[in-house]
Amino acid sequence: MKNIGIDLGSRYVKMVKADGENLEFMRYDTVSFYRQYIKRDKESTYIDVEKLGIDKDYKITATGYGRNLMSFANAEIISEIKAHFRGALRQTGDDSFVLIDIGGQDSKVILGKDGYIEDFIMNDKCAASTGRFAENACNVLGITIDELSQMDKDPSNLSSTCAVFCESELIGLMASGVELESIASGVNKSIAKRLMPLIKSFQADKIYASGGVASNKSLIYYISELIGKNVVPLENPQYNGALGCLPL
Amino acid sequence: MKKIGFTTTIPVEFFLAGGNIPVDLNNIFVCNNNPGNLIDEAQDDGLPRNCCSWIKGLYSVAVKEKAVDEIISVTNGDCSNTHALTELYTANGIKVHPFAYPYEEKDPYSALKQQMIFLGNALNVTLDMVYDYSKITDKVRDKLKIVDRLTVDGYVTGFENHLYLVSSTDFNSDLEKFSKDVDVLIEKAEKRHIEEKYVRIGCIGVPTINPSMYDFIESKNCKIVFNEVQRQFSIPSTNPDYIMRYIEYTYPYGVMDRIKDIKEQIKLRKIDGIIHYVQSFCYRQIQDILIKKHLGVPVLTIEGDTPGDIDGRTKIRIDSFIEMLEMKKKKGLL
Repeated sequence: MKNIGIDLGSRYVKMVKADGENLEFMRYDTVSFYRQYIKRDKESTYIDVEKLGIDKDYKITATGYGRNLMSFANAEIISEIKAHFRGALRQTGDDSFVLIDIGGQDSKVILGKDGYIEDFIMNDKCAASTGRFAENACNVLGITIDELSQMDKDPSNLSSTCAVFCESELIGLMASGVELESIASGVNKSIAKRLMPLIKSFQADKIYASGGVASNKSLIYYISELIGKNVVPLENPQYNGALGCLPL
Repeated sequence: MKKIGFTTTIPVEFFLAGGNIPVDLNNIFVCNNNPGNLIDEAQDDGLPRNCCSWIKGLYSVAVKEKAVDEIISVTNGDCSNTHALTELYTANGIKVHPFAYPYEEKDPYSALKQQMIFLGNALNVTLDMVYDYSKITDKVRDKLKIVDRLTVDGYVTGFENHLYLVSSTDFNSDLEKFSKDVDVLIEKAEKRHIEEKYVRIGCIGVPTINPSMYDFIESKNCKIVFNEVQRQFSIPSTNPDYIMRYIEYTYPYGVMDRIKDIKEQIKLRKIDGIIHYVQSFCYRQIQDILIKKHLGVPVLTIEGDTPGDIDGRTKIRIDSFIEMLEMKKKKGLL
């Protein structure tokens, strides 16, 4: 069986190509992907598999932010919740767990029980618990995402309720001489705190994290600290949605 | 004959018995050709961005559009923003009469009766005139019960149910025409072929500012069989005591009364899951905690802010929720 799973995220498009047991992982900038690999004719929209260098005999299953906005004539579309849940089933082999998915513009927490989705919750209309906030904070602080993910010492308390206003708060902290590491740690802790109302909605022994932001070790540290349980990032956190598009 | 606006549902017979025209300010705001513009106008006058859009719409239809001659402002039983809104109405020269549903009164019946007497004095009608007029409106309310039953049976859509029940707060300012419109809907609906849908959904919470959500929800493998607050707005109680009907009306009182009503309807209508609509910046968002705790069926909470189509994120949530319910129902887990 040849399958392709595609997760069309707000920041990146993640793709997993599966030929039997062999998996190949690919990632594209979302805007570039739409420009280069989506083609339209009068009636339909297609994923340009030829241009992506994929044989036509691959079955394409996609998920992502625009599920209800997108419709591809050559792909089956499944919901993000289903894709991420299935991805975690596949990556962990467990059937009961809480999955925290922190994406570029949204965060969601899924409760899996005995192999089905028991419940889920998503962040409200606020970007302060998402990857986009981390990315903006890095730009303001002049550090990389990798550097941010190492910073977990003496976190500054960030009080702004809004990811945009928080940028000026970061500048204010820098101006008042607070250590960069303390401010960056504060960014990680503030994302973790923002996720708490979502995460604390559900209880399970095993708690996994997915999404690009799950690679942020400091964030995982703070989430674990705040809930008093060990949170385990999945093996391929950023590709979890795409993996969930593949048959189990 | 005066056009008298009101900020939330109150006994409409007081207007009709006195020969006045009732105008639910919420309905004319959301049915305006450009409700977004009304919100902008309110914000231009200084109403905060982080304040409920309904309040801003209610401000503009009265102050800017001058849609009514006088206003009944519900100062108890709805949100406290209405207090500030009332002050703005008065400051803009609009005559306002307050109406307060009882809150934690020792004798709520007497308190409500007293409020009705005040309302009658303001509108120059007696309670007896109101009771008499209710015999006329009861016939229309009976028809609305048929609309609601046809919704449960699958003949009337969730949107139609929403529209007709929510419009009964002022009978679209024309009782006779409204009654005929309901007849037309019933006749049309009864002839429809029912499409079998797998999942049965109940919608609870304040009426949505984004009614397009109804068609989106029902484009999935599900049927909306319940609109909680809209049904309450249609005053479903048939208690022979007119005042008691407004004691049994749940919307202006505590959330636990609402939860009791919702649970009864979940059972009666065989509802698989609930979609709880909350308005951005509304105090009722807090009550979501108790709703989720007590209902005993899966609840999805969605939030709307300004008029228009529902956004992509809300669509994802609804989509996933229906998918989850389908899966659970197939496995016999609901």
